[in-house]
Amino acid sequence: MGLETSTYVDGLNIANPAATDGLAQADDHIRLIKTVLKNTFPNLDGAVTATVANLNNTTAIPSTITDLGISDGSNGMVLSTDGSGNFSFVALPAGTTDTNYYVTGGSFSGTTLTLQRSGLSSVSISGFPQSITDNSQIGNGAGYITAASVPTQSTTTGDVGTYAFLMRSTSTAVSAANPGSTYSSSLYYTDRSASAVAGNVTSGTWRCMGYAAHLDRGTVWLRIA
Amino acid sequence: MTTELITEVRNAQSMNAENTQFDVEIHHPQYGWIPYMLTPWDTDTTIDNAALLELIGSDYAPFSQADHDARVAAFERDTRDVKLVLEVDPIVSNPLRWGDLSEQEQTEVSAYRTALLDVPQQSGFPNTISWPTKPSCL
Repeated sequence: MGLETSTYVDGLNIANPAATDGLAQADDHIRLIKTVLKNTFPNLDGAVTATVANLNNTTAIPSTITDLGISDGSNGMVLSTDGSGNFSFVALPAGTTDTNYYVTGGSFSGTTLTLQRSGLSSVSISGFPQSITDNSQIGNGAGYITAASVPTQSTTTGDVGTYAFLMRSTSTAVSAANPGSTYSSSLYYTDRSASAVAGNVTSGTWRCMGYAAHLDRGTVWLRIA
Repeated sequence: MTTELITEVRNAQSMNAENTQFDVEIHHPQYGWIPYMLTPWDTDTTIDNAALLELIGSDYAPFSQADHDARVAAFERDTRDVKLVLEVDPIVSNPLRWGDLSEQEQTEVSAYRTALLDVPQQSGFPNTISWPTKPSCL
């Protein structure tokens, strides 16, 4: 059998040399073996002490920086190197500002906030409410509302928020209606010629804003609901 | 106006035979439990009366014709009382003003006062009332 050719270990043929090969080829086989060993392990200039497990990568893979032999520091510390491959956690000196990663300025225009960063490009955040520019804009939880959207007070007779001069019926007005008291029934508009059971009866809830005594029950009321 | 969302009602009392008017308590988001008169002629939209009717459903005290008539009677008696207090009493309770009336005028005022007092005794009271005419001297 002739001598095979190989550069690395994986190219060696374990069947060579055959038993029938001539002894004169033995030196060729030995040189081939030495050559592929040197090619395969060119940098091993000492004893390799790694175990089979190490070589087979079955030991635990480092998951934290302390697994690498670097002692942990305190909250807020930063990792520092001495330039010789030695790492440690150190606290920044008081007053130290790393401007490389800090906002150095900003501006607000319309609904967009723009932040300038040292060493990095600016960033913009949009969607802020517009600045309030006059008293007709009233802030609320949803941003702001303009004068055009401010609800107007109804002036329709009997609507919530309107006042009326009302009478109270004796069927329930056994006591006077005091200021601040609230009633819903037995309140009538002062046109006493109207029916007691039709539209002359008030709707909703009314707050007495005056004082209504017996037979002088007419006073000012405010509809609150 | 902003619509107030009412989610709770209690102690509903039907006020008419059609069950479209209710004296009810509502849980108002600002005032808490307050009395509320729900009427079909309410023009205000601050509270959704249709939604209130749904909340009340069938959980209300039924309409009472007797209570209704009593409310109307009380209202009309009030009207009668106000007429007496404002129109008649200032004259008949003041001797000087009463003395200034002629005998005919005094008779008319007395008749008017009696007619007012007799209003509840009219056969149609309280639903049909014939109000006496106020004398021209009053």
